[in-house]
Amino acid sequence: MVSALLELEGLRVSVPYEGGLRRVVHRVDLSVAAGESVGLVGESGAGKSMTARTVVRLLPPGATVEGSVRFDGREVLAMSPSELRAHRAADAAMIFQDPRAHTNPLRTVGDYLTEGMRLNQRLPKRASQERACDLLGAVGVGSPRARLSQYPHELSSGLLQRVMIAAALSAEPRLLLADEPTTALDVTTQAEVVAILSDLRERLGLAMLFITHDLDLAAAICDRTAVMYAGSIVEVQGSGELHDHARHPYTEGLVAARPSVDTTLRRLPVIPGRPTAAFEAPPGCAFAPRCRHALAHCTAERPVLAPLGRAMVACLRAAELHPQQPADDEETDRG
Amino acid sequence: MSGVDLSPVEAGPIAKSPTWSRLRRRLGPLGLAALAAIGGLWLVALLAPVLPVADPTDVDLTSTFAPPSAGHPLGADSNGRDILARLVWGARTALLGPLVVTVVATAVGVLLAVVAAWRGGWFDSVISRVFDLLFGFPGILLALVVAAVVGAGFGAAVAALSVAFIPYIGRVTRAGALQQLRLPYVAALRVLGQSPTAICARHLVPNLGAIIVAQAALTFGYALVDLAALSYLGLGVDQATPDWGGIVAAGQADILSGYPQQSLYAGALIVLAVAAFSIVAERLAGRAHAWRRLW
Repeated sequence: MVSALLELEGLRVSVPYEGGLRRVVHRVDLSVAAGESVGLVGESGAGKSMTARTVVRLLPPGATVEGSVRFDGREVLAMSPSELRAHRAADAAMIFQDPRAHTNPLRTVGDYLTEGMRLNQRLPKRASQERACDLLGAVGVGSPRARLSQYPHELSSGLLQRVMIAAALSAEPRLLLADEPTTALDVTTQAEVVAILSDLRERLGLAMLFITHDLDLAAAICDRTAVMYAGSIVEVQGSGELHDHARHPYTEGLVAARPSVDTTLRRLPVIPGRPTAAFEAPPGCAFAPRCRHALAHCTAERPVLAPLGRAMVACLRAAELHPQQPADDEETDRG
Repeated sequence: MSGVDLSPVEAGPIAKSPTWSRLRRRLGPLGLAALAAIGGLWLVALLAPVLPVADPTDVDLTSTFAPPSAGHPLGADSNGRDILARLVWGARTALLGPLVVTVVATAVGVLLAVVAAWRGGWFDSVISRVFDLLFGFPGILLALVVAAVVGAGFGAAVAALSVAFIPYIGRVTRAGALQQLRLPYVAALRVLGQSPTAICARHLVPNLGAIIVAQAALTFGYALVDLAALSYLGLGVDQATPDWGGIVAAGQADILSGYPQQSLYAGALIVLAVAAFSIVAERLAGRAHAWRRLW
């Protein structure tokens, strides 16, 4: 990586819960280079969203964050309120899972798109409307002029998500935080939105942190993919390699558990047990209780992310399970 | 569900129901009548100087308790003053006072409530306790205290009630604001880099508009009654200035003499105005669904 645009180091996040604090992100080290797209994959509750939200410090009240979040060398966690506002307005934009909940239902699409430009970039009304039309055109919304006077409830979720993407792009950010932007959409719309997103990203040279629980989707649009389990990143690899040469037992399980149109299976392989949240993770490796390779020392010692070939893996037995001749791929799970 | 047209539709101009027709639907016939009554009262109050009525302060002891006639359409009071003129001019103080109270209480109440809801923590606790304290303290009592300290008068009464009604607006607004602030769209606006002031002023308060307007209309009715009561107690406007509350008080002595007209007329106007404002407020807040079917 040349110079990272976004660097997360030793990130730990705890949120208040029933009088105490609950850790939801245990240890995250991740970097996103300028123009790079990084996928963040994991199950619900793995801490993906929290990780992305710390980049713009959008955390529940009372949450504590340790570690460091650097954007272009500046520490986000140390920003003053006005610096933070400027950072949110200009540097990083976020696209949310549910566009309907994340728009003010009483304001028109035009209001939503132009407000930021008028407040943050001091654009005059006419110019901001022109730009809003251009942006809507860029995200593939037909008859943009008419859309401006429509309300969110008059638009389908797919259209509204495009409006959200347009709003995110309006400030010309350098980093896009996409928090499961397609999960709430049906499959065809999903494909369109993903296509628009990756196309725009490449044209504008944007970096992106793309959160999803769809490994294939991450592989399709991300340069690298990071896999999270119980609040920690367990593996980071180039998306293509991750698919074929998963190094962490959890990733192997995920890869094996995907349905595929090429193979006929009576039953999909599953990872035994249930997903663990960061706060209830055992002292050693969080995945150890579900891991078929786990040994005694796995439950005692917590693995850290370490290089293994071209991958970064947090597994005590990684080197042992994957001797560095990437010829044999026979380690995959057969359920 | 057969015959549903699934072909794509080009986004055309959207037929929006104009504000007035939406308002009319919301108010219903009774609400419209109430709105008309409010409008009528305001019109009378504003036009009092040009309306063909007598001077409300003209004392004419020869026409004491005069029955309705061409000169005195509603008769005259114990001092021979024209009752109609006094009611017309009384509308001015009766409506102006509550207006000031409502505007001040709404402005201060909404501001405090929104800041409290946004900031939370100790600021919210302090504001909420102050609201509770004021809420539990009758406005009339506060006005009595103020009158005792700075002296009775219209200004003192209006000022005291303005403070007393802040929690009526503030509590409802705060509750609504807390609810809105939890909604994801507020988080999305923050991520777009909008300042708290912009989010509150441009999104939060407009979205709470319906309940604020409804609560303000209700406050207007309460304030009208309280101001009338203060006038009745002799703590509002001075005796010479016509005011509905004062007229009720002045006519009280005459009821036993067989002349209840002026108290009745003024009392009826108070009831009319308060009922009209309450109905409009209720309709605006959308709290009268069951009722509206009947009317």
